[in-house]
Amino acid sequence: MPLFPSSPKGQNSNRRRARELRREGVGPAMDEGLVSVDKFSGGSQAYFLTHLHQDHTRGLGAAGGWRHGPLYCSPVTARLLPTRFPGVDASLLRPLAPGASASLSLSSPSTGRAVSVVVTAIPALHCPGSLMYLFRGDLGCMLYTGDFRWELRCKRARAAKKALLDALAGDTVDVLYLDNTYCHPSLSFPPRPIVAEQVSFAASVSNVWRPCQFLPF
Amino acid sequence: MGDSGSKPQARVTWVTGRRRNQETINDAPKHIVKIPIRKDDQGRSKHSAVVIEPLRDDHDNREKSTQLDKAPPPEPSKSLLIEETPLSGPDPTTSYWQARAPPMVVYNKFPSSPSMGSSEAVQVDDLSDFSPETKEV
Repeated sequence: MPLFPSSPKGQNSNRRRARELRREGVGPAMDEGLVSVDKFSGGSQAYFLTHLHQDHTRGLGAAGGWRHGPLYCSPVTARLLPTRFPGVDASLLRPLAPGASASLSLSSPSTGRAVSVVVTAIPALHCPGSLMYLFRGDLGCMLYTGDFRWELRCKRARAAKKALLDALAGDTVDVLYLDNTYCHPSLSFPPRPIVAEQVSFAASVSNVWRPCQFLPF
Repeated sequence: MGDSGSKPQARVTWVTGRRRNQETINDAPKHIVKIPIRKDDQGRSKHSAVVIEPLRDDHDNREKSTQLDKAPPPEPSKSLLIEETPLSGPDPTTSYWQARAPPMVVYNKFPSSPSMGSSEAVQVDDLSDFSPETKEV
């Protein structure tokens, strides 16, 4: 599924600004301690959680609870987070609805100059509440996919793609952070409707339904 | 995956092809790649991919932690019967399953004991063939 529109002609002001900041030693946000995605060891000014699976939340349960800074996530994840990490400071949670955007005013760690970033949450459809994050602003345009599952015939995936394209507004992603865990061609999974139907069939013939926490949807 | 001492959930498995699926899943790459779509100031080429180490604390240990989180699969039930017949009816999904050729698994029903009332016990095996794995919250 194509994710991005064709490149617009010429450079826009954000891209020029990003080059200027890079010359000053400010690299992509994820690498320079401005913002962190799915990494919660401190040292950044804003934090983003894609979803609530264990391998994406390491650091949130540190002793004393979460105190490092504002934590952006989906409303679903925000509701679930305290049940998993009771020590989190609720006042630091910043629920960001799918399709919504937030403006961040950050400070360059090296120069102290103001850095402006707009982040848009895009449905990732990996699990309830999962998000991609599109960062646009002084550092250019960066997309962090997190774990995602966009199926070709899925209406929600098409809507999510539209939301992404709308957020890009004709711009082009400069850097893509892609989680390609299952992108190898040898890994071919049946679509969700197929899986759901098989599960339903298995339940009907067994006459006993046993909820299973490992189902992939 | 779960609290200490909790029992693994019973899960369904496809007997045929189980080994292959497990092997391919275990071999799957598990990392974030940074793909510059545009050239940066250093003139790096488009679409080059590099492994991003700092993005996750557990990058080097992710595979290990994933393995540790997996519940050990129970032994396949000898009572499982495998039929090659696809689902009946004009089902649009039938053509998919015919192409993929996964056999249907039919579970034998065991006589219920008095303590179980009217319900019938059904043995099920692990669901490791259903991928991608759901990671425990």
